[in-house]
Amino acid sequence: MEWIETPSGNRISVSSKLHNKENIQIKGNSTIGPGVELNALENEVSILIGKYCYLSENCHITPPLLKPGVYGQFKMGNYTIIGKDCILKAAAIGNRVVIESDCKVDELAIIYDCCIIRQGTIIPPKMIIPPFSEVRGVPGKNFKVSQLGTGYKRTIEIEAKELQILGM
Amino acid sequence: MTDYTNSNETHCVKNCFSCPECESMLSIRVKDDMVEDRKGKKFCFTCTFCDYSYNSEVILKPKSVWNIVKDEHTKSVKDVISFNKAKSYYTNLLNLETLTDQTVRDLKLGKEVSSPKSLEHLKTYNLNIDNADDTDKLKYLIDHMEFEKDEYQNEPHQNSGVSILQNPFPVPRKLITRETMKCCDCSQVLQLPNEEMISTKFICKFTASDYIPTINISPMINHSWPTWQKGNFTLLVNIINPLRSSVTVTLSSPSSVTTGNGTINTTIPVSEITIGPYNDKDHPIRSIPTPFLTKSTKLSRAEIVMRTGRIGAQSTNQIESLIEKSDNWGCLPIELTLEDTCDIRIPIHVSVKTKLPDAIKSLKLSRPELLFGFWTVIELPCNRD
Ligand SMILES: [Zn+2]
Ligand SMILES: [Zn+2]
Repeated sequence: MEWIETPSGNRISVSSKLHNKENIQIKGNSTIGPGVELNALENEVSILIGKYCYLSENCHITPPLLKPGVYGQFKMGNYTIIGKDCILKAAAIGNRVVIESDCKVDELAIIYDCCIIRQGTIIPPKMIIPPFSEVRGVPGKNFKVSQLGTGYKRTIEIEAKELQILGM
Repeated sequence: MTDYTNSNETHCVKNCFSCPECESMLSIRVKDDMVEDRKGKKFCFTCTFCDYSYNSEVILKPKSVWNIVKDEHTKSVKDVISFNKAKSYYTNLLNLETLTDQTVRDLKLGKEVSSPKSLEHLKTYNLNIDNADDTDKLKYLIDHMEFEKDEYQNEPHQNSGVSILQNPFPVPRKLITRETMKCCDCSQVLQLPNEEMISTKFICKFTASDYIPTINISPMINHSWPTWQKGNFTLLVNIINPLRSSVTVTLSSPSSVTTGNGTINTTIPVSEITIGPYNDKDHPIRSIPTPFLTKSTKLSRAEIVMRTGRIGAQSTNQIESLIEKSDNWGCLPIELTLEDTCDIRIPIHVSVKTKLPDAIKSLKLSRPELLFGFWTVIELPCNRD
């Protein structure tokens, strides 16, 4: 695996695809894994990623569609970890959020701080996930939001830092 | 989080509704419509995820969307309840009339129902026969027949063969709140959120994970995981201190542990270690024990080179040379003897001693130090990926 390391400490896989790179902002110390696709818009900054974020293999991020032809911004906070093969079209994903592999976060959903989205979850459009939530399942089948202990605030931050430092 | 869904006092003022089928958000459109030559508005709810939709009746007087849904819901629930009562009544009546059973013939003749078998039989029809004194048994039974359990009171859309219902109703969006927690014994506040709703900050928070050292098992430095078969193995128990004061940690484990598929003898040759304080100004790599460093990043590779130049020189004793510590972490060796291939599952007791942290000192407890212990279980399946 080949990586480009930027002066701000970002590690970007050479096999990732950053469309309209000039409109993607990554704060620093974040990892963009192999096969990740960031589909920023042509004319404006439309993907913002915080520090110590970790985007695993084959994640796709597209700014959310507001109405036909009009896109908004995709924002991700600090210390947020995204697992493999996730598709994100959310409006915002907060600080210290873990999204496990194979999740789909639909158009304009908002995930607030300190949340864990379990493997294979689908978060439907415009859904708002409050802080300290654990979310699992598929709407209409087994979708469930439960409370996450406040201790996760610290452990998710440590995990995000370790992922950045150690790779994996 | 307390759920205030459907509470009369509290509901989302922004007309947020979720789908009764899938919990997704509903989008709402307003259409002009007519009812009996009068102009009104119709509210159309559509699920953003599944194909659920709901159209309100034509609304002539202005009222909130929440009240529109609530009124239509209440009206529908009443209809369903009276329908079910009637349905249940006639079903029971039919059951009773078509019975050729001796019991019913006796009942119709006004005889006492006494045999246990007959009583049992009546029970299968949900007939209430508690009052045995009643003279006109049949009339009594019909009057007191138990209605079918009314499931419609709370969940009018949970359809069980009733067809008079239209679509299930939009569900007012869940409102949640942040919670304060107190100790059950002494009422000390353990968690007090600040006022901002979406904040994750607390005015006061006592979370165990802020005090308890992290315990992790690893192979020895520069070794990979062994395959678990008959023999002796040395592993490292890594301890990371989250506190801003140094801690003395003592480990102990049962000398032998029997798991599902074998017995493991364990020894912890050096069981006590004092580990330095956590400093949030330090680079986070300094909190990572050496056995966990990888060769995947430049930073980690450089750190390995730097640290391995430092270890090994201090001691000639074989076991002591395995003990390593730096900053806020340390590792102690644990020796395992396996009689056969088996899953490793070893309970370890960890006792921790440190000076009283400031947050606890301010509670004015008459204790000079913080002393606690906890159990952790080391689990290593024999077939590791
Ligand atoms: Zn739906
Ligand atoms: Zn107490």
